[in-house]
Amino acid sequence: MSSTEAIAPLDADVYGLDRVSKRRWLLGGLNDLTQHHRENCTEYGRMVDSLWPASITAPDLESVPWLPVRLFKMLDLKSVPHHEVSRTLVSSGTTGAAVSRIFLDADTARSQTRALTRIFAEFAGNKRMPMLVVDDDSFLRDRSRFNARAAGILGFANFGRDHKYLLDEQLRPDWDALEAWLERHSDQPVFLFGFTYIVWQSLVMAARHDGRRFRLPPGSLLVHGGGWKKMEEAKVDNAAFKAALHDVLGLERVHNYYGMVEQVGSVFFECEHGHLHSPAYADVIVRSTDDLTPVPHGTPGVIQVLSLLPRSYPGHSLLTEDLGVIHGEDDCPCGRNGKHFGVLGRLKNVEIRGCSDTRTVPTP
Amino acid sequence: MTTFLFSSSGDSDLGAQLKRLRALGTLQPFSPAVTEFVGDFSRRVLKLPQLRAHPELATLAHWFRSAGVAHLERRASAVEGNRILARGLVFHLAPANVDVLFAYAWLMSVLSGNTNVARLSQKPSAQRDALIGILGAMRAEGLHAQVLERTILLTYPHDNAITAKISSYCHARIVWGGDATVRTIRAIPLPPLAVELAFPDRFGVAAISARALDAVGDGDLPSLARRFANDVLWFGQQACSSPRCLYWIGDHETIARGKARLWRAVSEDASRFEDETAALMSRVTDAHLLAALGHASTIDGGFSSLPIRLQAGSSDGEVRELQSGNGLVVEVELASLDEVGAQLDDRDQTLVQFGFEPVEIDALLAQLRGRAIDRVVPFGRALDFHHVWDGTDLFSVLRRQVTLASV
Repeated sequence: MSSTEAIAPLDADVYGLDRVSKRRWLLGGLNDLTQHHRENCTEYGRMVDSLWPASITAPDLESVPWLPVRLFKMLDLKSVPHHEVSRTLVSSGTTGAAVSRIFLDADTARSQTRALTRIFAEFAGNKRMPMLVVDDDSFLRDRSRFNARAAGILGFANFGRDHKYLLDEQLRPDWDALEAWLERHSDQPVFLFGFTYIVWQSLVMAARHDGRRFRLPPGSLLVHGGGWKKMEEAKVDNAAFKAALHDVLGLERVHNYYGMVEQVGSVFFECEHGHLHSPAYADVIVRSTDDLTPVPHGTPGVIQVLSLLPRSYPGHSLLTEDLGVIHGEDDCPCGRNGKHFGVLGRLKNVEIRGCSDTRTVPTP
Repeated sequence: MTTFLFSSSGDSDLGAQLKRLRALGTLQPFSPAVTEFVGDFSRRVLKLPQLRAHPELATLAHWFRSAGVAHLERRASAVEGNRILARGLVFHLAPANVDVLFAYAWLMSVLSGNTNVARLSQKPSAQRDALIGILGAMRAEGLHAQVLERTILLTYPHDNAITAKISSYCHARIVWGGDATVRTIRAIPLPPLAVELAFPDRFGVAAISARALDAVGDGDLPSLARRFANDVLWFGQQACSSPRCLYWIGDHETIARGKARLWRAVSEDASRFEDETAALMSRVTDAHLLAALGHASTIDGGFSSLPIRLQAGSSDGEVRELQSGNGLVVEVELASLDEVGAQLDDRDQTLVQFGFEPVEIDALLAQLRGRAIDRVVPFGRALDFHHVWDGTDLFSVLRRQVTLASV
């Protein structure tokens, strides 16, 4: 398969395919990927041949072989020769914990960037906005630490201009610098990006602590992700989070996203109705916490993610350690097609991960 | 920072406590003071409200009931004519989990008349709290003063200086823990005369004679399956002696029939084991890891069966090292039991077996290299404790013999 065919999945309408055409199209592509990885990754070949012999050509999406996501911490899995690896992504984890290593070649890295661009445009349009990053910029000076956090920030940084990093290395905000920056961009919407818990502690709580309030220009939006575990511990749910952002910054548009470094392209954005959406080239299946068989919509279970983009490593079908629930398919009130779902947190007694949950954030 | 979980003295200074213990000296092994304490202790364990949720506590109490203690005393008799004394001050380092295993060694040390200092894990657990609670109640009731004043339970974050200080007072050190813990503590000096016993990570394996299973009627099969399920699935398959591999011995056809019967019976029984989704995710991950590295050729029963059963041509300590427990068994078919020997190494502690003649087991033992296999037990006994553990009689460390020559 040539490199142009490799990114062909991105030509589909991001939220336009209906259930029947999406399932047919995804299944063909995923079966091709299973075959491709089976032929090009020795370890993957052994896994499907011994554990998934009946699913090498899967009859339906639910039968496509999946890999447990923790496996990427134990094995270096790649389907390209080492010299073709252009970038190695490393997952976030608490200090001392093992990390995933994900190997991208130029094609897969490019399709990842294009996928994110198309999804982002569906929510924020194509125009680059002034961008405020609710994080510190130390990672920019040290490219050896190209972890999930850096990948997340840099991935979204493409959609902004005149970037301002709000926090210092201790994750403390510089309010005066923020005011000066906002003054320069008072006449147009701005784009904020950050990891959920850092936005909460170092922006919302810090502003309240310091008695600061800001009015962002109308139409400004925040995109945030990286896990809710610390937010749950702080007893802050999505509604309270949004209300606080509105109060402190006057923000109206807040979009959470769900995704993981182990599966490029699977970025699930939260719509105006609070539901996460599968783009055309990715999907979610929710499985029983007892025996991993698929459960009906509305029943909570373990989230499996599917994506047509991972070609340089066998990550096209992964079983996560997150709990979720599918709300429906092709019937979200926002009008976007595809499955829409919610994430209910991590399974009990599994490792903590995610950019929002693995960093030490000072209390203001 | 040292936290005293139990001590009969309120002194917060560790050095002063250790000096006090040393000055007290030991008691006579199996003297009324120690056997009464152990008898009362096991009676109180049986009354614990946590007992239902922790069957291993009941097993502990049963093991140390009066008849059990009397049995131990007979087993622990000396070489003819020698006199037996306590070893002295024994320093126990309990494992991070399965606290109850340490309790066996600690109670045996009490029976041997020793003074005991035990470092328990930092994490509170039902077993830990039960243990401390019982000792506190005894002290409040004014009972067993001689044993209680010779007992210190404490905890501290990993700190070599504290371990070194306690070690400098001890006559024996008993270490339970992972290989890394054992290695760290081994490096901390002991007094020249002190002895050390370490219980690092070990593994269990099982072997079954397909022909013998064929002879088991359908009426007896459920109880055999139940014993085997206990061996494999209790403690989340995390105990040293929990079997991780099952060697089937016989011809392929008889084995196939045996597998179908045994696993059907196990699956009808497995629902009584608590199974968390986190354990399911772990064994599913392990199944993929083993397959990726070429240690599994097929899977029987799929991912939803408990345990997950991988089929392989061979399986050794390297594979068991990769397995995290949580309900995954590797099955290997062999023609005769002595062929298992080539797949065992120092890390393999317990062989759980069904259906073999003593002569077959002897033939296997004669094949063994190094330290492979310290116990051979029938199905259902994998997790039993024995005063000979990891090949050493604990009493030989917990007590000493005074040779008494008359001429």
